[in-house]
Amino acid sequence: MRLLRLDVDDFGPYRGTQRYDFAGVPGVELLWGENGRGKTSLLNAIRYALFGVVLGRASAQIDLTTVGNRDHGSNEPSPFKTTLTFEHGGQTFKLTRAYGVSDGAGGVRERVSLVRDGDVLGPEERDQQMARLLPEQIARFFLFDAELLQEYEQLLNPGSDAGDKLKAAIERILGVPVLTQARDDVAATLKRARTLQAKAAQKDKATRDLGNNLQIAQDYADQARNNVEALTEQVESLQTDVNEVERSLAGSARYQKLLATRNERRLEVERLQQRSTERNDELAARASEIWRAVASPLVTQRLAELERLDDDLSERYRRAIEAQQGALAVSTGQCPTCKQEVGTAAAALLHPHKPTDDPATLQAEMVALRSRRAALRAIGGDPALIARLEREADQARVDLSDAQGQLDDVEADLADAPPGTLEAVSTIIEQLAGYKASLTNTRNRLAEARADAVAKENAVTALSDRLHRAGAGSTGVEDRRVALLSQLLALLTAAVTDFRDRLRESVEEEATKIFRLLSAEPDYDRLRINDSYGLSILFADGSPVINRSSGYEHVVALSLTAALQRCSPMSGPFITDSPFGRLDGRHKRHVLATLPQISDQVMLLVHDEELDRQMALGLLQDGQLVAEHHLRRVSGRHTQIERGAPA
Amino acid sequence: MTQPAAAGGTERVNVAFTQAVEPVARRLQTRLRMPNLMDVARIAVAFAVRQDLPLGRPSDFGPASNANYNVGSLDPGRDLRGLVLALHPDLTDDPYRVIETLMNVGTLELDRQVNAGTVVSLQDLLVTS
Amino acid sequence: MTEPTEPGDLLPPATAEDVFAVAEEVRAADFAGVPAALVADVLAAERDNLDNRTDAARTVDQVIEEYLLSEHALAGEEPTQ
Repeated sequence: MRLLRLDVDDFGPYRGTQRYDFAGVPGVELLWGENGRGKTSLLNAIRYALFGVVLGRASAQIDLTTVGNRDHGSNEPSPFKTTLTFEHGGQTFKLTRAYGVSDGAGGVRERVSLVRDGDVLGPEERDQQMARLLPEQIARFFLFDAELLQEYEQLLNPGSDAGDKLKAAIERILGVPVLTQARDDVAATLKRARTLQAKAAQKDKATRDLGNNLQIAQDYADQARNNVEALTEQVESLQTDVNEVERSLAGSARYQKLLATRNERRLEVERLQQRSTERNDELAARASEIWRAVASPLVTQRLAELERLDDDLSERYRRAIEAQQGALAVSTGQCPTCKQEVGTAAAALLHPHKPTDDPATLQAEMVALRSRRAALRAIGGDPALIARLEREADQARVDLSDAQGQLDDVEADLADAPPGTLEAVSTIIEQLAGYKASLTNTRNRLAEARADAVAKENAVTALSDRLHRAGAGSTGVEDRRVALLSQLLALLTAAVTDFRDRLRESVEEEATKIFRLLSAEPDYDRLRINDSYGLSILFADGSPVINRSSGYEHVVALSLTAALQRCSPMSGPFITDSPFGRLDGRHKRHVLATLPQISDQVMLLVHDEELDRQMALGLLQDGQLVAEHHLRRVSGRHTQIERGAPA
Repeated sequence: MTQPAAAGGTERVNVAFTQAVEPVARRLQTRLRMPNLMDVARIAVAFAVRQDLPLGRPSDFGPASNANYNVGSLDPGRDLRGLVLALHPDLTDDPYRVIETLMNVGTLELDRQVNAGTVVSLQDLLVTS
Repeated sequence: MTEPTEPGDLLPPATAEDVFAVAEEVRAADFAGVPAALVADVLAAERDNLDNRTDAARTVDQVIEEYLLSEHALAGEEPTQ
């Protein structure tokens, strides 16, 4: 498909009738426009022409009564019109959608027409033709803005609502529904065939019991299936609730964050309060012993003195005893220890040791001293321990006081909130937590129900096989139908898995090729796809890049959309608003240089802060830059599309 | 040579903060985060001996307050008594009377040093001077 | 049995070809007892009715019944396996 021309009438800031002519040759075209000039409106004009919807922030639909040009000053809903001319499969189509044609009762309505090679198509043929040309679900692969790109992140979270929808859209353009729907239709046919088989068996005496059992097993399997369906609906509904509540929270992000911070800090204060109490208790438990630690330095010093005194006394005592023994030997002429005779010469030698101290007195002094020493040793005391306990208690108190201060700061910020805000936000947060808990719970029940349904289905298959083997003539036709359908179902189930695997492989391969062109980080080696077509970046050693930057989210999303364009034969234009929003200069250059390889028709809606024109001209050489337009301000409510780059 | 102090004599069974010292002791209790006033009393005795304060009772000692303690509670292992006697082997006074003196003068000295900023926490009492 | 009715079908022909080719590969490898034509007809019924689930299911039913009838006519009472 190739877009040729867009005509707009009073659409957004495009007052009156204005035309945008797309370039007639393959390449990149640029539409320059400052913020607020109407780049997104032009993208929306194409979207409206094709699908009748206009998207705003967070991909929310915009009320069409607000879309018409307001330059006339009125705030009443005003009419507008878009006409998109495009070429597909050698035919030229002209699609017109007009809003605000009076329905005769003062209301508004929409009028759509599709002209194919000059023939006006009837409503039914028109709708069929449009659905075939470009199903709305796949618009996201050629018509998108930065926000839509951001949704690709959801593919990395298995089970996310947005991710599931995106996966379905991807599989749709790749043809998976042909197989999955064939599988589901054959399964339904098989189910009916088994009912017929059971009824036929019930008529025959020989197979009646088996037939009855098959019937009952079928009923159980039906119930299990219904249960799965009901739970699936519940999960979807809860997911919608979660999304809605999350959207309503988005507006109060600041207070939500403050509340979360306050709760965290309250917990921290509680924790530190407890720690402080514990540390104080530890110190208090030793309070009655602290005096020992206070006395300890003096006690240690005195003990050392007493040790010296004791040594001294011991030595004096030893000498006193020796002297006493010598004196005794001299006076008795016999050694008191060995009982030998002491001669005159020996007695002369012993004379100098006349006793100076009284050993008994010395002994009494030693006893007193040792008793003092024992008393001091009993004091003990561990100053290091007490000091440590006090330091820890002090530190815990300081930490607590700091945390309390931080909590007070948040409380002060929260106190500035408009009345009622916090209560409302708290309620929504609680509500969200409740929904999320229910969602998890219901998802678990769904998983159980699915397992149950499989078990029940297996029971049916087993009974049906037994009946078939029993081979009674009365069920022959039904048996054959069941056997054929069972085989067909198994075949289609295997084909679905096989086809999906191949698709993922080729999408991964193509996305990796594009990614290598776009990426400026040499260590990022390739992309890996998951079951939902989410892509992770891998290093050369195969380990994934965790927490990739928002710029790289953008690069990965571009790689995926480009890969999908390449893998699907449904090639089309690639039109994107703010394509470089989160990219640095190097990646901008890479993206710009790669775009001509992604699609034959690329249109970028940019402003000069986002893209340097000289750089663009330098990169898009050899005729790759095929056209330039710019949006000229006439007034705040009036923009004019003009050819060429802005002056 | 030395006479064992107070040997055989009848020792005091109660010791008390004086009326003037009791509020000072309570202030220190808060300051040092001690669970009991008795903990302050013990610390004050240890501090007094560390500071080598005189054992004699000052003339302006003053009358006892209601903060008085049985020595069995204040000094259950009699280690405080042992400390005083081990440091002052020549002591002839009743050791618990000395302890009572030290806990009061020690409290006043400690308070003085706290107010002077030389002691701000327990750790300042634990260092070797 | 079911032919694409007009150009610009719901699925580009190349994509549809991929789907058919994979199914045929699986059939030839593991389900040789299932006729190739039957698989192709079932898939064609889906391809031609991608925007209408009711019609798709009805057409699939018809394809299977017609196959069983023709088989019955050709092979008498012998069940297919």
